[in-house]
Amino acid sequence: MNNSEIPNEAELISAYLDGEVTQEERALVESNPNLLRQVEEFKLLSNHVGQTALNNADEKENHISFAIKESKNLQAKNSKTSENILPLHKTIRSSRRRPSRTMLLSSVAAALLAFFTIPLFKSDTENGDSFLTAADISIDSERSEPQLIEESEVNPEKAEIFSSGDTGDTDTSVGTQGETANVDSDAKQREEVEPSEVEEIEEKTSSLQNEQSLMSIPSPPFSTEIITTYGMESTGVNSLLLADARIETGEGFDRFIIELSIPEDMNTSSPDQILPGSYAVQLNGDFEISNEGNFVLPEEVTNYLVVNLAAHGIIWIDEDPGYELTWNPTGEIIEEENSDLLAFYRGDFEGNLTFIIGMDSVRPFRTSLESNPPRLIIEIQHIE
Amino acid sequence: MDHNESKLIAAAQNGDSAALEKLLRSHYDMIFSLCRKLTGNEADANDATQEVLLSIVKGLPSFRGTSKFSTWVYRIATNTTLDELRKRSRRPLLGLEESNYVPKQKGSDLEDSVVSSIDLQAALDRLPEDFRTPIVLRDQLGMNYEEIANLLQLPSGTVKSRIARARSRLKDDLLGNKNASDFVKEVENE
Repeated sequence: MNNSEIPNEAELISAYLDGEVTQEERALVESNPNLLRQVEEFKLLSNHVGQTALNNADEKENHISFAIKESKNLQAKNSKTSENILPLHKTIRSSRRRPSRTMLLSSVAAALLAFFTIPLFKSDTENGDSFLTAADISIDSERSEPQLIEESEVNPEKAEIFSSGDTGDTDTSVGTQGETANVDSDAKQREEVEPSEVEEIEEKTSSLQNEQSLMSIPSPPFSTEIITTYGMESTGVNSLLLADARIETGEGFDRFIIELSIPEDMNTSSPDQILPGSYAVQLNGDFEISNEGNFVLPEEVTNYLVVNLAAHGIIWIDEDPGYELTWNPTGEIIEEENSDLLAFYRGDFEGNLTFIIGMDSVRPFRTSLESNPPRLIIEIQHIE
Repeated sequence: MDHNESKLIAAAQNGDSAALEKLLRSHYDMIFSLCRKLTGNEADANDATQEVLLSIVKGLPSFRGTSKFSTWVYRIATNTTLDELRKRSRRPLLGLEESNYVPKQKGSDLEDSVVSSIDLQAALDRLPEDFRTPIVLRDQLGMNYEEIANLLQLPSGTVKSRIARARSRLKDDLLGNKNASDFVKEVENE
């Protein structure tokens, strides 16, 4: 055996031990006593590498008791948060694209017509189901952002991840998204209509469906809890490049969008399947990840979200200065004319991008991922 | 899934701290062992273990039993540890511990050498992370090459090659045939 053969031989023996060989390779190994002896050596090593390394008892107790304590804190926080989240029709204020009075009255009329007529055509179905169908039809006609729902419904890859600690082991996000948008539209209608009109509709609704109404849909998944996918099932690719970061305004919430691009050397045949990788969003979290200077937020920012995303903002090159930014922000602050948000890009540290989104109050938020281009979207709710 | 474990999971998801504690205890040793071997040192292993337990606590409400609980736990442990390493960029440097490293006398018997788990752990710690991770995932968790390739986003052939070279390196290290810096040079020259 000469030296040039050693790597392949080691690979063959190692793969044989792991059961990752073809029948021919298996036969080759089993017919060679020298190779079989080396297999035994590797097996000995493998057994020892596979042995469990134990921690000392004190550390173990500390780790477990800390985790239990954190669990209790989380439970307490969650119950507190859900108490503090106001119903959407109270929290969402639509200050832009206000529909005209005529449109509103038409909407109410259409809704009332739908409430009363569709059940008649569906007399063989249960009242609740008929109502929901009718309500969905009337609200769909007013929905300001139908694209969100349609995308989620037809393309599971774009299903949005809302809940903290989502591991991909859940498939409820699409439905929740749709429900949220419906509630969102409904809330918009409600705030423009006189309270008495709303109450009247609610009374009729209640009598039609025996206490089942659209507003009984569970609270939308906006929250102030930390959202993190670090350490969870992989949802995407960590080696994407920062391409853009911007704020977009919406009816009930503003969006902070971090758009990524796929590196040229990444071999992929289906860019539609590429989603951003691990990320975390935390209200008022730590943001100084390095010792390079002290960053001070403007005075008007009383609260902020810290967004960390596993992606690259620089690429290393041979020419001076040795690196190149994948995205050049136009200024220090990322802002949008009609939004109160002020965002800041804090750079790439070891393949981890950090952004800070400044706000003037604590606002519930949620996140979603979309592909083509891959982007992380943080939706930040408007608050009265 | 074990029936008792299923009940514990359900109870823990409903806020039963005692059930959660039992679950964490039953998987703790394997989690720590995985963190210890992936990080290559005790201090980072302890930090990573704590992070893993917290990730499990946070993620437990979304566990639906579509995979084995142990698979889910070890996947979280692996991802969390790798994320921690990436975030901190505290990959153990081979050169740092060279002064404490006394190679075995050349020609020692492998079986004698490998019997000492301390020696083996030290040899494992001296492997570069890119080589240590696949061999730990294979030998500690029993993952196959394709699973490792998916997790590390590497071609399956690379995983196969790295595991083989890691084993060769461990063998050489324990037998005193090469020291760690030789292996680093080999890797760097590629």
